[in-house]
Amino acid sequence: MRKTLLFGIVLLLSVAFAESDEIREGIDALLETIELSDWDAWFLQKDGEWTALPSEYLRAITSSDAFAKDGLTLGAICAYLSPLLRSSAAKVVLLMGLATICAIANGLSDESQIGETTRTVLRIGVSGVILVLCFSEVRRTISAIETIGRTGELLLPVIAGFLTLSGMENTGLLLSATHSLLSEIVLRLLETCIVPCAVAGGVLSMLDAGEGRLASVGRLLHRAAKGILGAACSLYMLITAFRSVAAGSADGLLLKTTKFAAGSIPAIGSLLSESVDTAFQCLGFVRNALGITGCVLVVSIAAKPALSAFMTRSALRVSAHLSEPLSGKPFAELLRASGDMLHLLLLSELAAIAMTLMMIAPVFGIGKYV
Amino acid sequence: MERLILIAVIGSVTAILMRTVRQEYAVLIGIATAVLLLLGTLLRLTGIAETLHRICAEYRIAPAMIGSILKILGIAYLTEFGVNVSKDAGQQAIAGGISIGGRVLILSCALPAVVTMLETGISLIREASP
Repeated sequence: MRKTLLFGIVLLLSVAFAESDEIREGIDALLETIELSDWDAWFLQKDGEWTALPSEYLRAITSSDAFAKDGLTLGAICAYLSPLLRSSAAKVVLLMGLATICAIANGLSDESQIGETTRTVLRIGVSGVILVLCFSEVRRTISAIETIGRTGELLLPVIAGFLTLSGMENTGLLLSATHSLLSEIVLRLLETCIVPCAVAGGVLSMLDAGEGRLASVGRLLHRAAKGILGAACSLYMLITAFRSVAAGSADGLLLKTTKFAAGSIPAIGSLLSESVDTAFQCLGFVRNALGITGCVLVVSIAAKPALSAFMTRSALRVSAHLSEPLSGKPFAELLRASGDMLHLLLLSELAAIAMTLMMIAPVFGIGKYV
Repeated sequence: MERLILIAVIGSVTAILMRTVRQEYAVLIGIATAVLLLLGTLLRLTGIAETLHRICAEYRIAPAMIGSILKILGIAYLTEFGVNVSKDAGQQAIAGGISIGGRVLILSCALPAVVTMLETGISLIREASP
């Protein structure tokens, strides 16, 4: 009852502004109802490189100059990518240097068994260096998955609150339900099962240079992690898609009924009906802007670790291909095993990002029912 | 490279010529030629080592790790050199001793690298586990 009353007040406010044909003021009035200080604080704490805050970004979108904002331009993205590219190139050089050392060791004869001992020992040493190289990426990816979960918690009250105020209570409830599913089951599954399997599999494969029994166990763990990840993602997306269609239809019906009811009131021609239309447009505009801001928040927080993991994974795979003719198969397998580990971690992180974005997606989807 | 080949050819020819005159001089010439060739090759490795040390410092990889890898490689080549020289001189027992000594040294040098690798692997798994 209270929520319906609030919706009524917001609608009346919007109609009042729309009646005076001042859409800008209507949007500004709606923006005043959204409190984004928590988002701003979170954004500043997580990443200092992006200078535009979510509240500024929301205002920028509603005034159609989002991409003119400092810190959200293509230049900022390029500035973000170039150190990553440089560091990947340095990693390739380091790995090729290690491949050269292994190639020099391949020159030792097996007659006195010195060659075999040296190659085995060098492989262990090189594995240690590669593990150290992957360590920061693994830590960053795990922390990013945790951060995505906490970002969802931050987004939920603001977006769900605004949806309820906009008369889309069902979509608001869907958002809460989807967030519970995401944080309590899917992200927990990622943190407790998929990521440990990926890391353990990678470490075992590296210890064995992709050849022995340990490597087989490692590959099995990777396959299991991939299977669980695929199943969890598919189930989540299926459930969310069904729920969002149902919630969208219910809210769409409510909004259409409201519009129809307003249109049927005989008030000075079609003045009231047009005012309600304008009010709905204002609500839709702010709702979409809020959804976009939420997506930007998720992507900007998770983009850096994902890009970094992608670059390191690419560096490892490129080095594996380049070094195989030089240092032989065992070294290349070592690099491939570590690349596979990072690939699986990257997939987990991307899945977490995609599922969080899918949680926000119904905020935009409602527009088509109105 | 050309210089190394020249040294090898001159050393080999001299050793063959000296073998007919004095056998022990031939062995000494063989050793001297091998030492020169080894030094000539090892000098080229310093470039690779320096580059690796520089990049490792950037990624906070302990320089000791790369240092021990290079040390192992050096010991292995020196051991093989010693084994080959001893075999050339007909000293099979000494060659066997050098080989065992070399392997023990390599394994002792590798111990910190093995410990580092295991520690990193365990801490990675611990980091990932809930």
